[in-house]
Amino acid sequence: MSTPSPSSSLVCAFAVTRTPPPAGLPAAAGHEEGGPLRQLPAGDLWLVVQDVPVAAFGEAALGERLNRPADLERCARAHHRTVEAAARTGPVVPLPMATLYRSDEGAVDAVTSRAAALRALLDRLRGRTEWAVKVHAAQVPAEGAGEAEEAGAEDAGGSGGRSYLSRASARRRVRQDGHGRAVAAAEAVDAELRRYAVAATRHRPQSERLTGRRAPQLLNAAYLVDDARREDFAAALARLGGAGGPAGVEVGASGPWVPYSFARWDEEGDPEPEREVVRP
Amino acid sequence: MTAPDVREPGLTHVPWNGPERYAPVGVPLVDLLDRVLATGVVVSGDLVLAIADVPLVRVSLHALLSSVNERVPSPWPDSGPL
Repeated sequence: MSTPSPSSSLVCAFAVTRTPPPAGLPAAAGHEEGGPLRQLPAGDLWLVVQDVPVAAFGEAALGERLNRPADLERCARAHHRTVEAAARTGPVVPLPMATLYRSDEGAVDAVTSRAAALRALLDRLRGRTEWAVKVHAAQVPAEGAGEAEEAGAEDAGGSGGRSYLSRASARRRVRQDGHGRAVAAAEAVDAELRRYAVAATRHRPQSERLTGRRAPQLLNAAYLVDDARREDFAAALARLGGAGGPAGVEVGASGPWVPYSFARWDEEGDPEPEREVVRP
Repeated sequence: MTAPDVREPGLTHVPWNGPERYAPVGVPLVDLLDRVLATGVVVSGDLVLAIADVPLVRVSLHALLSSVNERVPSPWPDSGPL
């Protein structure tokens, strides 16, 4: 009864929605390699899918392509563009990038078997957006500069080993105190923003290599914010990131995002009522 | 005058607070990868591949980060979930 797609193509699923967007989906969305976006009915839910060629999306081919940074970026942006397009007219549950099925039937079965949980998630995400907030320690002066200064002082003062060691340990102490204060400031930012959010979660902090900063990332958080509180949240962000904000840290934010970080549940579990975070 | 993002006419687009507020719109790739790779509901079934759970993501992040900085041999030194 089920007719599998031609073996040369796979079905790439992007998002689950309550209703199909009335105006349809933009032709520009989806992966470049694939066909037009389609909307599959799955019980009383809808699934946004696209036929994609096995040649580009089969496991081996995809693995290889995603190892190329340019292709990984194109793939991620195409996925995001499509999820955003689907979100334009109502709540969506985004699926992870490159969720692939062999046939429409397989995709529909996967959705209908979790329909109750998906409906609950859609209700929870309705009228809410995600905001990404990152807190970094304030940039510290280059290590090398400090050393050079130190060496200069040494030459001038000739103050000997003991005072060098005490200066070095004082410097270390200052740095550790500074770090402790910055961590506390990041926690305070998080606590303040949670007051305006329905839920919060944390991503793994990005490495300094990834952020291109000299100072560590202390918080990589996501907040689920009700549309009614968006202005309050934005005002809190502006306060925290402005001159009156906590010292020793820099607060950066982006949003609104489709609530990617809140569209998840524990394996075989129901959607978590409040995805509260285990503190690291 | 800034060009509107014609692809997404319906969305209020994003004051990405970069160094400058209301900087040109552009979703930061690292933030995007945090979201599209590490999150999202996994609906199983006739699933060929959902890469969030598959090691190839980490491999590709290695590639991505290596390209950011060629000098660094191990761009994602610590293991663990993304």
